[in-house]
Amino acid sequence: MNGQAIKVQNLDKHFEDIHAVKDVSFEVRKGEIFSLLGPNGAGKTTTIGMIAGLLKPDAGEVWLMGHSVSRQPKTAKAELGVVPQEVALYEDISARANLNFWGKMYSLRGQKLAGRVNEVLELIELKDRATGAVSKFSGGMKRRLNVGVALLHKPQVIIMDEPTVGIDPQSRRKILDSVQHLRDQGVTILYTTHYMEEAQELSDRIAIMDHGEIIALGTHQELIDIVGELDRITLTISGDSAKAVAVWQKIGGVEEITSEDGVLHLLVKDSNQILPGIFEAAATVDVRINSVEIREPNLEAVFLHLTGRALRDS
Amino acid sequence: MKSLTIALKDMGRSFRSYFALAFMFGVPILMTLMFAFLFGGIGGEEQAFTVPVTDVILVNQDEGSPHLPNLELDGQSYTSLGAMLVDLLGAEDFSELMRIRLAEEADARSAVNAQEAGVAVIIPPDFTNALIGQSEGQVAIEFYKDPELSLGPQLTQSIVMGIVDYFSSGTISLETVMTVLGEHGITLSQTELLELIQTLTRFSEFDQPESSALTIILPTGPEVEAEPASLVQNILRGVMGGMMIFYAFFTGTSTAQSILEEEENGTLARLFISPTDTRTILNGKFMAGFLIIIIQVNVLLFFANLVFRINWGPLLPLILFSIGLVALSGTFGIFIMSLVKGTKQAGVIYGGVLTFTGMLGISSVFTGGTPVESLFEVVPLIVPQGWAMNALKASWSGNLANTLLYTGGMLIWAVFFLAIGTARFKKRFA
Repeated sequence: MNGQAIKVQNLDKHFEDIHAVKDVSFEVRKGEIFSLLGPNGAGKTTTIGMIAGLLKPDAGEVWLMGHSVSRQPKTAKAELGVVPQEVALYEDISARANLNFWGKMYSLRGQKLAGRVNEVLELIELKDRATGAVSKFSGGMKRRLNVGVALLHKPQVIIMDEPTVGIDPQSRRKILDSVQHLRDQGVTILYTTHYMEEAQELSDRIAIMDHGEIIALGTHQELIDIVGELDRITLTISGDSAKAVAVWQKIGGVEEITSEDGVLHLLVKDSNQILPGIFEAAATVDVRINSVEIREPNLEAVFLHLTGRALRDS
Repeated sequence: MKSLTIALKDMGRSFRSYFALAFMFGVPILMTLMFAFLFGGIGGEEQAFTVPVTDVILVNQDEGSPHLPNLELDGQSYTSLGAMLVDLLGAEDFSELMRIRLAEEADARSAVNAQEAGVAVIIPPDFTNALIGQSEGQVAIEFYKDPELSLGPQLTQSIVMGIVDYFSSGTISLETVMTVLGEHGITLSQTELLELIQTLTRFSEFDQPESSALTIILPTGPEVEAEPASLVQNILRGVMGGMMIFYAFFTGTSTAQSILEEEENGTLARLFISPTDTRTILNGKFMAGFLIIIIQVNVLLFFANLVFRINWGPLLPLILFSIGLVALSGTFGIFIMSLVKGTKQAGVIYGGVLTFTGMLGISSVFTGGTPVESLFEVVPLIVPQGWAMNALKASWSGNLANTLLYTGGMLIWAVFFLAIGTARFKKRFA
């Protein structure tokens, strides 16, 4: 298990009639950011619940830094820091009191605890608010403290379950920066999100989950390659669409055209080069182009390609 | 160590909550204060205890006894002990408690029925004979009282019985003296006998305790050496004791509720994710409840003693009771909260279960001196608070055996509650 921070093997979980996680297996290498991307209800939180030892899998096994979560839970959990999806803090006490308490839960004591609490307060930029009750914090500050609690004991592996949901762009940026900072320090991060851009920006590798299954796994480029290197141009037009399709098919680099309710989708090799020719050809058959949308290949397209549904709409 | 960390964290949070503090200390103290003011003060020695003056009608049917043709007390002659009783009850000492008048039996009963008097004391014709052992049948003083009143008639009853006890004591002493003299072959003349009777029935203890002819000595020992409490202190002791028990159960439940709160706000899940096993986490949560109740009970006991001058009785039974109360109220909370799904159901628990069982459990505080007094010594035992109340009463009266009995009962309840509650929580968080 050298080089693997997390190993997930054949995880399966039912909640009564719902098959939440279906035979999921993957490995996360030491020092990488690994994202679980998928719509709400895809099974991401259930999967990390089992990895963190919070939920007992119906089948399968998880190892954290080589320690079995089911057989050596204390050792395995000591290697792990978890940032839960919802803010899980004692809001009636201060940030420092929260950090002190959670530090003790990870067996930190005395000077070591005090030192780490100060370091974390610096890191999450809450040192000047350390003594105020958490209930007075903004949503972003609470999220940062929520992250800070998971970092206290310097875990080797950190699981972040949608840590940026519902916060302002500034706090979101700080959290994303801190994730990259942790990776730079050699920490392994399992990051779940339904924001494609976050997964794209942060991740070394991404697993796309849907309906409890991993439907694709790889680096960003490997996933993009599933749908090819083609750009997607979406056009709304007025005029005879059949004539437009006919002239556009003759343009070099246009690989595929589909028509749907007056909206035409073109898969092309290089949208910037082809677009002027599309306008010229449309003019020759009296077709007027009302709007143009260009999408370079991204994870959204991959999800659409694999599931037939848009990630945002799922 | 982690259990203690969790417990201390919970304690700190509880003592930051105004709501929790109000229920732990504020309400019990306020309730007792309310009763203290209701009865005219907070029981300090300098402050007079005032209760509404009770209208008492005395019906003296005592025909006296040929064996006691003439009685004398403080220079006053009486033809019967009934007449002496009437005169004593009319003394100025009692004027702040009772307004005495004499009437015939029928008139007295009518007056009580019409609520023109609080109580009628009917002294039977054979009263003197009965007290000096010359009556064959059983003789009883009847207290015919307004059922809507409890304190006034009870006070009257206590005073009358106190005086009658002195009469009886005198009689017993007389019999004893006569027996001893007889054993030595000494017989007394009628005059000597009368002098002896008058000496033994001299009730000067009311204002001259040092010259009392007869002293009633209570069973002695360290457990009953404490100063006898005043009536108001007894009332306040019952109220404060009852409130302490009532709200200790609220504290136990409220502290156990924090398990559900933490489950709902995600901190419990975070605890389970940490390298801390479920047992340690639950132990910490449970320990918090016990520690908080220990503080609550001690603060209330000390405060009541300091401010209301409540005498909680001998120390050992009090400690036993306190241990029982902490164990029982803490485990009761764990048990109750293990039955509910979430904090939304807590309102039902507080408003229904705790209020009902609490009021029933401490009901004997408010039923003393009423016709249902004896019933409410037993009925409350169907709820755990009833055992606590009886243990406290046994404790303050210095009855170690009963304290042990009721504390034992409390601990049995506690073991039951802890076993069920722990099993349910463990299953829930398995």
